Amino acid sequence: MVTPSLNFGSLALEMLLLFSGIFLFLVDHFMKNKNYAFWVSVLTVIASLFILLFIPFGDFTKAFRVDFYSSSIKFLLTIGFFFLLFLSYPYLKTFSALNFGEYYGLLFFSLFGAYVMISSQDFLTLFLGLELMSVSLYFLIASQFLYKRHALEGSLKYFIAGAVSATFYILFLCILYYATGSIYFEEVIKKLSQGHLRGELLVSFVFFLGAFSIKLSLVPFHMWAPDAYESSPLPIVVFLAGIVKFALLAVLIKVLILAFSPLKLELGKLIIPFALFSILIGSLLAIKQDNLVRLLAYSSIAHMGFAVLGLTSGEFSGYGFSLFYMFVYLFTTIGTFALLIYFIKINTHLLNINNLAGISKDFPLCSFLFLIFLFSLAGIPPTGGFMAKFYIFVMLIKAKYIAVALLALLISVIGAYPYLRVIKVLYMDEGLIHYKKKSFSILLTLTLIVATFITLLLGIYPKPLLDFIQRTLFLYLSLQFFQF
Amino acid sequence: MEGLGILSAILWLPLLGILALFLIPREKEELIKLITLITVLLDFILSLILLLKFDYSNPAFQFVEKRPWLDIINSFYFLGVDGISILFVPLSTLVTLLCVLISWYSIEEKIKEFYLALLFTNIAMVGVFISLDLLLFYIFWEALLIPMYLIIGIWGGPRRIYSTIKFFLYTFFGSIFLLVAIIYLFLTFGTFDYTFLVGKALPFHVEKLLFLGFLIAFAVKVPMWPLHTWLPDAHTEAPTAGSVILAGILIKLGGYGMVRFLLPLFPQATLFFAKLILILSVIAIIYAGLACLWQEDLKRLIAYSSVSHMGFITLGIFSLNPIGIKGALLQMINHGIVTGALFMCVGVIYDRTHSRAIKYYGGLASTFPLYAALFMVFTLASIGLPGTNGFIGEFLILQGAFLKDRFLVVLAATGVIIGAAYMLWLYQRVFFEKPSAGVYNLAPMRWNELTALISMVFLVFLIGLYPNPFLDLMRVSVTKLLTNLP
Amino acid sequence: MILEMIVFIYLSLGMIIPGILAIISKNPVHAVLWVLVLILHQAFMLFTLGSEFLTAVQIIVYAGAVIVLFLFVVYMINLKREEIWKVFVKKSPLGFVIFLIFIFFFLKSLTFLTALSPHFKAHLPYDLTQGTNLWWIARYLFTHFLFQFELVGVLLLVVVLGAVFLLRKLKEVEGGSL
Repeated sequence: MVTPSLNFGSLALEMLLLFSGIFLFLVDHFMKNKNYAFWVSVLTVIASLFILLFIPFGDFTKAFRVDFYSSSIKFLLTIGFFFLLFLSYPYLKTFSALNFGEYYGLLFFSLFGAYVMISSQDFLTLFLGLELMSVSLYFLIASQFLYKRHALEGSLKYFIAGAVSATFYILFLCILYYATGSIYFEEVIKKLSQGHLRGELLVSFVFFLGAFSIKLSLVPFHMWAPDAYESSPLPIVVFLAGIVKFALLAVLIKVLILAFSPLKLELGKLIIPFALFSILIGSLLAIKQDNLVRLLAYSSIAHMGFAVLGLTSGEFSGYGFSLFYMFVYLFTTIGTFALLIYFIKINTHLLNINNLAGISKDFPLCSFLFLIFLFSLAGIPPTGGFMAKFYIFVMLIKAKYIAVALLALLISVIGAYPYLRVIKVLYMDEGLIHYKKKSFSILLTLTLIVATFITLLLGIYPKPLLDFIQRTLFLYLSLQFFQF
Repeated sequence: MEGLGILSAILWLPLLGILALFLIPREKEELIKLITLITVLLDFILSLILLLKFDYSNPAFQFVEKRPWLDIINSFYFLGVDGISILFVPLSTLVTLLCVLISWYSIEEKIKEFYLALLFTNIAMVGVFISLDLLLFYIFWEALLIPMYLIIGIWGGPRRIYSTIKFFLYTFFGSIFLLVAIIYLFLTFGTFDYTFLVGKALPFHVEKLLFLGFLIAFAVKVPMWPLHTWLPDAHTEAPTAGSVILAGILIKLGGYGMVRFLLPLFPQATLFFAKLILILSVIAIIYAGLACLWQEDLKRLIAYSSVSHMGFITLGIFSLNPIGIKGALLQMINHGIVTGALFMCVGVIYDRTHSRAIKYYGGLASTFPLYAALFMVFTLASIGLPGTNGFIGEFLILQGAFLKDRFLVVLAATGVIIGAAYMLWLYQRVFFEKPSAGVYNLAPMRWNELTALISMVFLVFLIGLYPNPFLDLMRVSVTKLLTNLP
Repeated sequence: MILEMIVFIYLSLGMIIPGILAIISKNPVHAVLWVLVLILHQAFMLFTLGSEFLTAVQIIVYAGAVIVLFLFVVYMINLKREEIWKVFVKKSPLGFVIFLIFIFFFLKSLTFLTALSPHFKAHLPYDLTQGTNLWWIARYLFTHFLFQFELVGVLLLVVVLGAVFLLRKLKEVEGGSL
């Protein structure tokens, strides 16, 4: 038996997150003024960005590997997380009952889980990372349970969905081990490329996909999403819808490349019905929603459908386009929720769409930004949402899934309606109530500027980001090439 | 190739205006209007310079700008104009200019947003006409929906929300097929470059499908007969400026797209489907003409007349000979001017009486004589009286179509008669007969309305009496266009 | 061989039947106790398969701790048994369809897998003649699977911290009643 390499340097980032999470939990009880937690978090995130730039690539045992892909994904995630902190601070100021250091601590634990998951080299570590990521979220979703009636319900639904997902995953793990005798990506792909075991692994992947589609809220496992989103604090919704799903998609891509690439075409076909039904049901159910968060929850279901459509072709550029889609979605979501946090500061009833009527008169700039984000979600140029969808469709048609592309596009016409309706209410309805302006915190302003800039820039000139994402993936291509 | 070309300048100049408007506080309404006016005026002057510098004996694309844009899918920032698109650039900037003028007093709320939307519209309209990269074209094509959705929805009439959502979803639905067809073309030939794609052969069945994909998008915009139902609603409920843009430019995009893309890219399929489209055009001409006779709403009547006139334009395009296509291109300009002007005219009295019902009016000629005279000019131009621009276009179209199919031309010519009937009847009901109670004491026409309408009158007679320079501009390009057809 | 078979069948039935009974019994306390029976049979099944460590874990952790916790919760909440039944029946049609679909897929994949040749024995990564189960597991946990082991530790830590987080908030509001 070989003693594994313990290269603690490659764990630096994860250790930092873990320690700052524990630090926040330890210190919080003694701190009267809770603002310190925010600054500790910001410092941690900045430090982790620096670590990511300089971290050496390497292994920590066979289970954990820092490479270009994982570091790049972590970098993108950390940037998103940075703005999530900017959203959290004003939100916690408004709802001071939530203003604990533990809030940030749990966020860090969750991010820690996501990072472990992204760097994992075997299916067990992946699972543990996934669970770590979700467990903290169960608490964060429930954190308003004293003030919001449905908070516990949403959390419990997510928890039960998570438990089912874990069951699926364990089943997958059993079948995988039964078939290949290993849980490491490298061994699995070796066994697969020898030709036999394709059937077993295909069956096992169905369960894997089941587990992931629960977490990604793909139809038919989407039921938890609207309730969980509605009951959680708004920044946590961004975390759930943007960062967690970005991480999950990145991991799914990693698994598809590193463990299952000989099966990628069959797996792509497996994904299609999940994706199409998600787009359809997400779009249809979003039409009737009156609560903005619920509407965005259903829209997130539809968007996840689009994002995983990029995986169907089994090509590297398709995977890259999926990641690009998620990145655009992440920043659009951040921008949208920055606005919602401002609205909720003005009046909590503004989360109901009908109460937004005519708000463009009193808040012209907010409404205009909201307009940009909504058009980006609907996928109208010149916003990032269009470019993201466009690339996905290029991929689909290239893979000869023309009917799928046409169907998805047709459904996206239905999907545009909910956003049009919100815009209609914002701009075209007469408002009865006039709301007082509240001061706009500098953090929210900064977040909004960045989110708007990114949404528009990616709509007009997405090349740098796309090149970057593709480069991260091509590294794996060369890895695979040399392996066989 | 280096530096900023004149096309880029025309395209992005309104962006400067948009940035300036962002910096101005919304209380300074006069300043907002003035800055928009100056921006649009400069843009119009630039496009006139473009027109003067254009070499009409050269069939190739001129003022070409090509820069790498999205390497990963081989898409370029590729601009250029030829004889087909050259006239639409000044038309777009002119229409925006007139829209700014005509809305000077009639838009009273959310002024800043309105002018922002107008400038954005200008960018998208010009962009559609000058982009030679299919992806770029599609982006401008779709981006145009955003400001139009807002213009109709925010500043429109009572049923504006229904109309604007219908308009948006209809056109969005149409452009989906365009997107799929564009992506398919890209994947087949590996480029979005229009000049490269022209004359590339495709298998016939693929060509047919792609043709239909493009056609649905264009036919919704034109709008051709079975897909026209969004147009009367959108035109009727839009504010004056919105109607003018819709009639002047937006529905021309479909016709322009047909000439630009359908004919050269899919010649086989064009021949295959030409008959069908000719029949649909004639149905549109007669059906919409008859529908006009039923209308009791001024704007709705003019909207239906647009459908009828656009039927003539598709008729000209798919007669597939130089005369017909030149006629159709010229008629698109004419229709933009005349129908735009008619909508402005309706806007003028709507601002004063807040009624669009034909029954409400009567005897305007005696109480509002100058207005009646201007309206008369546009009515006659719309009918196609010799001496006005409408005559030249319709005559050329019918002449071209006559070479293609005589029977259909006879039917289409009845459309002209129906046109005369509904327009003259409208004129009679609104301007003659006994003056109704509502038409007394109307405020005299303001400077902005007079400027806009009189410049339109000038154009009506300019094209009507001396169309040769306009036809010369497009001659070589149209000839070259038809060389691709077998 | 026959004896082995009889023991195996007994243990399997001892897992399946209490499982079903746990689902359909109206009294929640009974249901929990049926689960206990299930877990004991499961533990002995593991014992017959030669993993005495897992047997011990199963009995100590599940039978000893988890089931007791369940019973505690059931007593605390004081569920009315009829209510459970109503809820269970009311939502049944759609749930039942989904359940059938799942069962179908599950059975399908199981039959598919059993049709393939079993090669489980070959995957045991260690040799039992050289050391006991416990010895091997310890060796693997602290060397080979060190990272995963530590991760489980962090996971438990997070769960505890999260529970404290929620409870502390409750305490601050209710003035220390918990």
